[in-house]
Amino acid sequence: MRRRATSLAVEAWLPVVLVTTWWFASATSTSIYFPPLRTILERFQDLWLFERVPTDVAFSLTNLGLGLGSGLVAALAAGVMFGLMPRVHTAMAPLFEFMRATPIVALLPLIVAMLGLGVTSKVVIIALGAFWPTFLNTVDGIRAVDPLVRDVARTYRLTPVTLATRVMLPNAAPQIMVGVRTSVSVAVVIMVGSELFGSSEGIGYFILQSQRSYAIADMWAGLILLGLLGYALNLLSAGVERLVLSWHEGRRTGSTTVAATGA
Amino acid sequence: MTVSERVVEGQDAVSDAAPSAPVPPSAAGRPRRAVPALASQVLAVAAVLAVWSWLAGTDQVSDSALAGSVESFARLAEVLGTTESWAAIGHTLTAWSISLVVALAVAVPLGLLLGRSKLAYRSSRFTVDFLRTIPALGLIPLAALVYGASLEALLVIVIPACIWPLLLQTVYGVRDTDPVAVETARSYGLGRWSILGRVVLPSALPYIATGVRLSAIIAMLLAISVELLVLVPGVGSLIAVAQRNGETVDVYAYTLLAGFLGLAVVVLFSRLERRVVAWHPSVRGHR
Repeated sequence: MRRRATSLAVEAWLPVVLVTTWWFASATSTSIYFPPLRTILERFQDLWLFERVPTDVAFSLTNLGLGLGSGLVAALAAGVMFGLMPRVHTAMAPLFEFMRATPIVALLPLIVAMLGLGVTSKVVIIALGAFWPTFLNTVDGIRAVDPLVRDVARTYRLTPVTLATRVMLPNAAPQIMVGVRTSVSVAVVIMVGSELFGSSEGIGYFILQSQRSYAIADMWAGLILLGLLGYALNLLSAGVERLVLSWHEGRRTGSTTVAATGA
Repeated sequence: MTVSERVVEGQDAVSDAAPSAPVPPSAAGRPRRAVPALASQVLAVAAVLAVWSWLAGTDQVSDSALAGSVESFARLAEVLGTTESWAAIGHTLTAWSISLVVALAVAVPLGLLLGRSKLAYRSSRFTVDFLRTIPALGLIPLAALVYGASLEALLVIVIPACIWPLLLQTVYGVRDTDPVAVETARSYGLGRWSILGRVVLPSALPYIATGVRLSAIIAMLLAISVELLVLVPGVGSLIAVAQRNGETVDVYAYTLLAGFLGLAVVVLFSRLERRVVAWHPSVRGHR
């Protein structure tokens, strides 16, 4: 019990000190840029509990969910495909490298020109941002699967679909999850970026609009919301990773070929 | 990204720093099949350019949205002859290098401290985790408000985003140091600083090299993104200005330029990383 309390104290003292310092240092602040934390939190309560949740928050999270979902599904499917066709992958590698190295936000003007300023362009660009980390990690993960496992799968005459879902994906899961976690954080950044470029809704737009109308406390409240959201999504993806990999470890203890014979 | 792995991965991401182990030397160097591989790659690039060209030629997409591949590359070659675009490239590279150097100067010493001291690590864990998950681009309105469309505004956003992956990689690297090696050094009478410099730092170097690569990529991706969104002078703002003026071919040419800049960073730092870690026991076995 006492050890637990000490451990909590060790973890918590720095955030507490930082927030307290912010609170007192800003209490009498008259700077337009840095309003008192008290004012910011009051605005936070007014805005985000829960008046604007159905509009801005729902808008952002819907785009994020749709973009992330479609991006990840496409990345897994394409990753398995290219992972199983090493020659095709080698041929496409320079193009993949180029696409991965291109700043996704720099594609905003192109995508807006093609698809307009609506929801579609936002979902597409979020999906595009989420795609690359998971796709590249899936390809690498699949290619790294022990050739012996493949041979065993071949002797069992598994269909390509069974091979992919029962053998390849479980074996590549740890590396895929590294990609998925990167995809999640990239998607959040792109979501915000897409709302700063010719948007009229969303948390990013709200922050920008507050800044333009000099509602600085509102802007800070939006930033705090964004921070909490980013943190929550990170926790969520860490939880998913643990879930996926605990299952993976469980299967692995019975040696990797069990996954094949179980099919 | 990502800047991801990632990133970037880049992505980390763009802004994430998944615990990446050092990259073993690539399997790319198989000289025997090098020529057919190269041929297939050239073919694939040509095929994509042809499809792009064909799409631009049909009426599926309006001309104001999709420029042809030939026109885009021709315009890219054309703008590379102007001082305007080279000035922009210079601005972007300056912002990128300042971000990377500052991030290195902050993150590596801090990472050594957090990696060596359990108390410091546990005390800062929540704070670091919270701060690094704030979406970097969300700070744009604040930075633009305080600094306007300037280099300072860009640095305020890009530097923290570069610090996180580098900091985490350094911490992982330091914590991964073989305790026996540290004890041995201590029993030989090495002081605290000698141990840090001769045992811990070399052992953590492969992780730090990975962190440098991730941060370098993130710095480039974010620098161009901020330039585009805030109109800070640089390659990113060239894209935004071309788009506002409705010059579609220019938008494509400058977007290609941004892609090549990103690619240059990826290629350069992957090579650098491989060179730095080549001697390390964890990688040597792969040779």
